[in-house]
Amino acid sequence: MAYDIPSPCDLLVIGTGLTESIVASAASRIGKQVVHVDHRNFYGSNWATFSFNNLQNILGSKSLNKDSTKTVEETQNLNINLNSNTICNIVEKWYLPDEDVQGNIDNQKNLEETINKVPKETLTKSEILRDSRKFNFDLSPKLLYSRGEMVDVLITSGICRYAEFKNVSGIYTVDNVKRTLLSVPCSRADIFNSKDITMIEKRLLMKMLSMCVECETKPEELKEDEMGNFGNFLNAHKIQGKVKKYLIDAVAMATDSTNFHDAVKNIQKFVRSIGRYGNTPFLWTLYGSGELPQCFCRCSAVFGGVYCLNHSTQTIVIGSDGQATGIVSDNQNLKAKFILIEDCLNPVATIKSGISRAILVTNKALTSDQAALITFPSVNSKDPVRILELSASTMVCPQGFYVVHLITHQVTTAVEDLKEAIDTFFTVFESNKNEALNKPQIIWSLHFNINEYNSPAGMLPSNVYSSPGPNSSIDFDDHVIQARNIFKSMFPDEDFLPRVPDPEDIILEGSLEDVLEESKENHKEAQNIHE
Amino acid sequence: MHGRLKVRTTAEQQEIKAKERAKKMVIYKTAMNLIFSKRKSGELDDEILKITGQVLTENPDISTLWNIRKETILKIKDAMPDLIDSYISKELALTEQCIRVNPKSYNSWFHRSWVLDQGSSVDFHNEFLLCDKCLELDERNFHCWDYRRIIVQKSKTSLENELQFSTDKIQKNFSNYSSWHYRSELLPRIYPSSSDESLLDDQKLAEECNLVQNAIFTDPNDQSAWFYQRWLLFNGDEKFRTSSSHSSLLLTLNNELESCQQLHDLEPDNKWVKLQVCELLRRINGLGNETEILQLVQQLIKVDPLRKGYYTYFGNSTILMNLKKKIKKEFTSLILNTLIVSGSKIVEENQEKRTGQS
Amino acid sequence: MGGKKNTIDRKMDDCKEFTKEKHAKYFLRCLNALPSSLVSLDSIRLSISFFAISGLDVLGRLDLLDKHKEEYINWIYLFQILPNCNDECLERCGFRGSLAATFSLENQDTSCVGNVRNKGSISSHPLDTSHITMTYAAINTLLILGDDLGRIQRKGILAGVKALQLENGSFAATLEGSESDVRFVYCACCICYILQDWSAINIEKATHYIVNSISYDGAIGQDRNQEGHAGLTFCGIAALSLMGTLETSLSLNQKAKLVRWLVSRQQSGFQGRPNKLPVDTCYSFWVPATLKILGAHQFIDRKSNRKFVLDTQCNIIGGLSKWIDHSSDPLHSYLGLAGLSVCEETDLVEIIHPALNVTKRAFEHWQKLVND
Repeated sequence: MAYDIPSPCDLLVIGTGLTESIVASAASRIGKQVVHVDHRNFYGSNWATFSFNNLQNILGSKSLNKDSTKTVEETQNLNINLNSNTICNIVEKWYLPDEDVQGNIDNQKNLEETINKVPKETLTKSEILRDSRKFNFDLSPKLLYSRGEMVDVLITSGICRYAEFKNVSGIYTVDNVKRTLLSVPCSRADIFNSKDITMIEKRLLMKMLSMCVECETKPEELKEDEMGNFGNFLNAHKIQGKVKKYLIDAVAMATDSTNFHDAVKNIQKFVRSIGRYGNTPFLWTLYGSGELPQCFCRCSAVFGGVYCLNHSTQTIVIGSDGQATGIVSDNQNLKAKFILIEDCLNPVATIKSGISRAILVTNKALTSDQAALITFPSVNSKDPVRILELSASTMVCPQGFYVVHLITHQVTTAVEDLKEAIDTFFTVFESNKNEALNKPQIIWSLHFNINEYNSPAGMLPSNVYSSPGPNSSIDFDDHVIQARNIFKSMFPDEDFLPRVPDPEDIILEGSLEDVLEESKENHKEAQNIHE
Repeated sequence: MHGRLKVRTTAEQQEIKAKERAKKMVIYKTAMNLIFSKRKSGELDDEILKITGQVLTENPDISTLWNIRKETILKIKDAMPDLIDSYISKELALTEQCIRVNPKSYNSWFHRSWVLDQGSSVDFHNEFLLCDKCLELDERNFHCWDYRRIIVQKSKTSLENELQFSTDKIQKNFSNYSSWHYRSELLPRIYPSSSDESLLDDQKLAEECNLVQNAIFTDPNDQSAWFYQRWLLFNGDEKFRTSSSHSSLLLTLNNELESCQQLHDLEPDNKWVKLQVCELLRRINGLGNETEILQLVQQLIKVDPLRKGYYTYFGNSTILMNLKKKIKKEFTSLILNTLIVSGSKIVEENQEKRTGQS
Repeated sequence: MGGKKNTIDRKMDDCKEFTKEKHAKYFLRCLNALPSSLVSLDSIRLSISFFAISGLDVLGRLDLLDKHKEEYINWIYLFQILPNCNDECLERCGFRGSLAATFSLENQDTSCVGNVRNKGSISSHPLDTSHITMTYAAINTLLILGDDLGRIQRKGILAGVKALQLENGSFAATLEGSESDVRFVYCACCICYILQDWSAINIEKATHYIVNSISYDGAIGQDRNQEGHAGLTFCGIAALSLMGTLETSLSLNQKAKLVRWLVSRQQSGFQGRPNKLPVDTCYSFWVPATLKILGAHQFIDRKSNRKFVLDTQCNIIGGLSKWIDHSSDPLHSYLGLAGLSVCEETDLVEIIHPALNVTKRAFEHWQKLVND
């Protein structure tokens, strides 16, 4: 079966990251033959989610590529380097002892039982790894806006059936001086109930939100402010203190210097999404964001896409007219009309920037939410740090533990970029230390950077496309838009993931209904003959 | 192996629907005939319950059928009192189904509350759950609110519990007119003022004013909050007040005026806050504030032209009311002056008489 | 008259055109058959005919029924429950809602029913009783059709009404028992007003009940604990007006509060309760009629209401719907037009008596009957 790869096909996709998987599913959906390969042995590429053990494996073996000892021929073909270290500056730290020195802990007991019966000081690394499968770590965790592009596309395409989601129940920013969490009121009801702001502040906040939302329909009211930045705009409207923080840090996801238009767009997205599935605008994918590329791949497969993991692509073959004709993958020649390659493998791509990431496993929560988004505001003109604290109910860890993701734009390395945010809220785990200390303790941490790439225009044949990898934004909308643009460029007259028909209106020919009808007819005929 | 996907056309869909409707019509007619013939021959039995149940699930608005069921239940209660509870639960299940089909059917709710009185015991927890569910679907369903009052009464639930219920509802959505309304009913019964039972206790009044102010500042366009505030502040308009309660009310009114004026500064185009400021000014000192009131009336006419006639009337009636006060004042002082003048005249005359005499 | 109409039409250019003939045809069709989507109305056929017939009257097209007037009158009388020979079960008398519960027609050829000049039938079993709303609808409809009410069994009807009044002054709808509220008080008052006989109602108790139903916001609800509702408020105020106790039972303050509440219902058309949108055509009658009875109808913005009501006209089948771009039904078709009537849009419709909800013409016919 593995060698029944159709060739030629309409679209050949290299890499199973999110953006390219969306394109693959859209192409399959409209009846194009898609072949989707990945040199890795898992789906998701730099968007994937891993259990503890799998993460150790991935980080351990950096050489996933098949050996490319073949001499590079001087042809016009594009050679692909599977060694590109998209994920780099990896620093992993355990704060637990390896084995339990003291006791005889029954090897059969699982982690949760152990925690309940035995004091935490005897927690060990091997116990945690025993429950490896209960951990789900995202390389690129992201949220969905309830009324954003991703949710829209999931619903219309029906792909939402393949995954489950949970509401992010708390949104916070941080007081710069006191370094405490400030809960951000999102909905009308939150604002009404808030005891943290005065009545006048409530009015000003609501007024500003309405103004931003109505910006599209009443642009005249805001002309003179369009030139300035958002911070000045707020000052001009007497918005200070906590309300200003709420708006800039959490609602607009901006900084003081963000321009007015971008801030307003984000505010509109935020406000539009409130109330659809919960009080905040965001959803989290259960079991981790790596589920989503898999869902799109599944959809593509349902509509006829062919999937091959562990398939290493060495070369993109260019024809005499300058257009790509296909690829060479695992020593097979595969022909295709269009080729889509993830940007980290794109031979002409250059590194433009990076994302600084950290994943922590802690033993105590900062908030009482099942999933919380905290913005650590920008300091020293660094970008703000987004912190996602996830509890067991989001299916990323066992009970009693929490997974914390930190994301920011790369300035130096992940460890340096995220130090301040981590030190403000967390402390490292030390056995025998009094747990009455308020800060949550870090049991394990992983820092790394992810490169972001740029594919310069005109350097690829027109039928070869570069699929962007993850960026540092907290949501998926940019990527859905990118996928749609790529799709529209390849197939301009086609619908992008059109709505699926109502199941009741679908008749399968050769279905039971038809069979019964047929047999009724036959029976009648038979009777007629007898009579 | 795979069938091909074929999607039904709209014409096919319509044809299917038409066939279904015709089928339903025949069933309905047959059922109704059967029901009435059984009723005529006095056969109030399980079968009549079954058939009326089927018809009512499709159309809960046929009150005669509900009444037939009531008759049947009463007959069973008489003849087989041990079995009555199982029949009661069937009635509850049926009414719940009908309420799902049409949550605003008088008949279904009415029958359910009648049924509650027939059994030996009532699972009030279940009844409250049903109410909660319905109110979640439609917060303004007054049938459901009415039913809630009935079960609160029957179950002797504490009013404080219900107050907490209304608080929870308001915290979830303060635009819930019905929840504020419910509050207005409960509060005077739980926290009556010491001077007049129909009025609210002073401290509670202050707390409620604060609560509703939060709503007004968060969304000054929400009618429900304004109506509630009106009730809080102006409910005692016609009531006789002791001088101490009068001065405490005056204090409250002045506080509210201050915060309304703050809101007015932020929202100069909002008709509700303007009107409220007018009402407050009129009650605090209609005569002294006349100019300001009339200015606001003019603004109201501009901002809410739909009710121009009403605002003009409001302005005119203020002027008239003040005029009456002025006249009364002047008339009173005129009388006093006349009395003083004539009184002193009398004194003078008497003096003259006396001096004359001496 | 024609010329004047045109000038006004041109001024109201921003309104949808008034398709009077379509609506007249719609009402005629309602009298014959209704679509299965309205099966829930089967048990209240008499009220449907009231909407259709009064609707034609309001449109000034009652002439379309001229040929069948007698038939309709006969048909309505079919629903009357007569007292039996010993005058027992008088309380059951009045008019039924539908003929489904009666067996007197079992063996009759229904096609010639309308031609027989009948008076109704006696109650065939304890569940064959009158429904107060139907009695009200029947009597009103007979008036509109120009009947002399000669076949009305006054004794029975009044006994039926009296039997429905409760201790607290309110009225139930049927003898078998039903919910009780101000809607049925209104029906009772209309009946007694037209029959000019108040012996069936304890006016003091009924007035007391209505005033006690005034809610915290100044309007009338199902009872004092319920929020005010425009339809119920109309029923209460109209009932007080018909009973003659309106002036004495409400203080000036109460009236002012009520007027303010009613006036706030206008959004373009009218809503039934605060914060309930979208506006619904039927409230274009309930609210303005109440304001008219209270003498405060000058506070209505007639133009906005007119525009809204005209927007709810249905293009294809005629009639008016409760919301714009919705399908039409008899109740909203009638009440939308009656609403225009109350607002004195005389270029479109006839004038109406706000409390009785019949045209001035029908009312004058009644006055003549009374004087004779």
